[in-house]
Amino acid sequence: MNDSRWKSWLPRTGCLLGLVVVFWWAPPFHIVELNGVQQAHPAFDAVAFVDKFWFGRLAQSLDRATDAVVLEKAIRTDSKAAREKYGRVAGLGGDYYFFVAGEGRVVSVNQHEIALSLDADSSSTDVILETGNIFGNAVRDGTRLLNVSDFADSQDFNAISSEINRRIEEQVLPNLRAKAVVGAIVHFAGCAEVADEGTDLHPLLVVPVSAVVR
Amino acid sequence: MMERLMETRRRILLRNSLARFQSLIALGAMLVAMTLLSNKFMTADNGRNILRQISVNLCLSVGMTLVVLTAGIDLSVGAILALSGAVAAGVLKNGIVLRHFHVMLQFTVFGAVLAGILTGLALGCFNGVTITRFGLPPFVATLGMFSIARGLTMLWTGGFPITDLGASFDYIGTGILFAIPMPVWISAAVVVMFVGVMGETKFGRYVYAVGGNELAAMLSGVPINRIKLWVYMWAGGLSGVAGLIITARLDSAQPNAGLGYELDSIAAVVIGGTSLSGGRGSIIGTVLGCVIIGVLNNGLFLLNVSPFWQQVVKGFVILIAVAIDRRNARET
Amino acid sequence: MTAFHRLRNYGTLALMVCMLLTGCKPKNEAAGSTAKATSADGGPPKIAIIVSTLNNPWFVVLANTARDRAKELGYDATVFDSQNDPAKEATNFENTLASGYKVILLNPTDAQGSIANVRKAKAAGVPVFCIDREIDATDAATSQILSDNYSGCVALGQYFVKQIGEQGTYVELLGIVGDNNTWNRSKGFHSVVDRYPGLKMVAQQSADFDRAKALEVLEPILQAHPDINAVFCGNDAMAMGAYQALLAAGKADTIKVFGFDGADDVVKLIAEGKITATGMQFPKLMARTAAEDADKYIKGERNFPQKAPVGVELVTRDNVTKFGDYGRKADTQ
Repeated sequence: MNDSRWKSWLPRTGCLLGLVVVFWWAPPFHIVELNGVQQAHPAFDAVAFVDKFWFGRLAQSLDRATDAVVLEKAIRTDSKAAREKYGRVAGLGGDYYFFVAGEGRVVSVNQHEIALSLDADSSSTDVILETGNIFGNAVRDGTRLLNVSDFADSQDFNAISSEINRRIEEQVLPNLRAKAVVGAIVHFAGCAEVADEGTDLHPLLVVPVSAVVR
Repeated sequence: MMERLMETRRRILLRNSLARFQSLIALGAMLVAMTLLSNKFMTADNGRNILRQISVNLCLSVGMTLVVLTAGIDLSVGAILALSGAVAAGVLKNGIVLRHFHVMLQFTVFGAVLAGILTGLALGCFNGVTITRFGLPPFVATLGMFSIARGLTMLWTGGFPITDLGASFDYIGTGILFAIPMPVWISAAVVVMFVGVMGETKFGRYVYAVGGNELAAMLSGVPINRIKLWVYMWAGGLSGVAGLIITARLDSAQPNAGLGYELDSIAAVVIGGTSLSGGRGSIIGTVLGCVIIGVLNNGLFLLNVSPFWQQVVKGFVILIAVAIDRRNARET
Repeated sequence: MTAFHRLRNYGTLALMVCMLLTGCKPKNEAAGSTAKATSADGGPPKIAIIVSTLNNPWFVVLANTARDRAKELGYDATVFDSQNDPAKEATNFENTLASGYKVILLNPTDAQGSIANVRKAKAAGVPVFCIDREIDATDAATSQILSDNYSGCVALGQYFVKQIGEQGTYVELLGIVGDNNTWNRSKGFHSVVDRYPGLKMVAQQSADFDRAKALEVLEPILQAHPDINAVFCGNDAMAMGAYQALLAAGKADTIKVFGFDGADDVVKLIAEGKITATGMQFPKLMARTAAEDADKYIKGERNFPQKAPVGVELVTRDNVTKFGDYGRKADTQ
């Protein structure tokens, strides 16, 4: 009786021992300290990227923007030609951007915008600076400094836009809102997004990247 | 008179033998037809493609054959495939975090494969238990498991695919050994193993007995409940293997992987001559069924036939195969 | 085992071995035979259009426009359906690569899962142009013509705030949870609307981009929150379903519906003032561009931008007359 009982346990213990040997040689898992676990794929750091971009390439490119007065005249003469010459297209589709810089006199101040006139004498509104919440890709795509093809994940590219907009809201707009009063002179640079053919280009709606009030 | 009898007998024998070859003859006819209709059909790449594409269905269908031979059915194989693949991918990529002990279990490829297969075996075992211990009809029990496994897969993956699993894991699905893709090797190994099990072992004979006449088998001392449990466990385990193959091939565990695969595996089993009432059928028949479906899909693709027509044709093939099979069964 | 059984078994095994042995040709011969096959065929070069699903009319328009444009340009074009399954997409790729197609126009099923398929095609020398959805790799596809879902929903979100005001409650119906576009659209929308703390989202559920499911999901939500101001749906099929739910509850006049896609039925309802807005994606423009890029590639052009975004335009009652038929009216682009 004992003999057969022993015999029936033999294959089972044999298997168990076999399993132990296999697991020793090829472990199914390793035990790793939780703190030591690194992020295998660091997520895209939009803040750091925009930081570098803002003080680097963007700052350097401000002097290459189209002069506001020149653009204004071109639009008034022939808006289609102005689009061809000064407008920047980001992809396929109807929308395009202007990258513009200049100096204007404040004509009116509202909650979300500041209207400027480029002409020292007149009080017509030629340019409107957006001072409310900033959305959209005007600055990212208008300056033509960033190319969507360089980013494998479009979400990273979108995060850049959000971060640029946030930076404008935090660093450019408060100062502008505080100091801009009717009659003040504002030296600005920024981008305008034009949705389609039918949009009225006068006045030009500009997202300011830099705005200095004198 | 005697001669006429002998003549008729010979004719019946011939018809019977032809009938047993029917799947093979049908396949042969299809191959000839496809070769004539498209010059891309009889090529190296295409043959390899067909075998690679049927490898997942083959694993599922071998398991399904076992289940159907016991007069049961398993509607959860696709769902178990998805969950096994997701578990394997999940533990490989993210490990298992045990916050209480401040450690993480970092799984190796071997561990992930083991986890996937064990998941399949465990779910199959659950199926077996609900069917044998609680007496639920297989249709209902596996339908419930279908829903449970789908839900668990969604919970485990959060609805997102788990991707980027590394070249060593992906080798299971994309590797090529001696000009033959790994999935083909794996499914071939599965077929060889189960042809052996069903043909030569006591277990195999018991499976046929349970399906043929359950009462007689029970009275003869066949442990029917244990056999049924094992059969559903094997089906689950093979679904796990299939899940690993698909996950490795795509380098990603999809939360809705395997949707509809259970129907394809039942189709293969039925076309291969296994009777849904159990007791009659074979693994090789199932292999033929899988190849027929694979050749059909591939051929119709090459002929630019819409995938929807492929579905219609597949449906008719199932009906015809079962009708012929019924006729054979009645005559023997 | 009877002799017949044994014969049959061996017969099958022999068959399988034969199929495998045909694979023992040397590698370069196999590649050569593919190239020879296309010219030996005598017919025009073949372009494959592998679309993620044909279950959604938007994708049917995408696939059919690409096919028709390719045919116009003189190619033999066929549409293959991946049924939203990366495994079926992999099968489609394997079959097209073995059948001598020269270019593949792909609408990927999954931004991560489809990368392997595109790389396989690239290794076989077949260029892949992605349409509408991207893959998260910049070195696999020849070019990707993408719809900017995020920015489209930013514009939609801004219009939403203008329509509803800065105070109110709304419900969001998401698309398929595992789909990148679902989150692109949701994130774009929230990047605007979440800046206004007065606008509260009282429920967010997935309706799988499906009209019937949206109806099913919204009805109990309306029971729990009868006084919401708006419903934002991740696509137009769900917007239609949501609209039906509002009609049934008698609230179609008080609750505003926002969709995304630019489907014909929604554009019609926007013109009638029943649905408030949607974002027009341009499937016809993207499909035509992809077919034309394929043509350029076959003729020798190799300089394509990796990503060519196509802007999504806001469609509202004010500009709805300009849109229709999955694009701008009289869309000659």
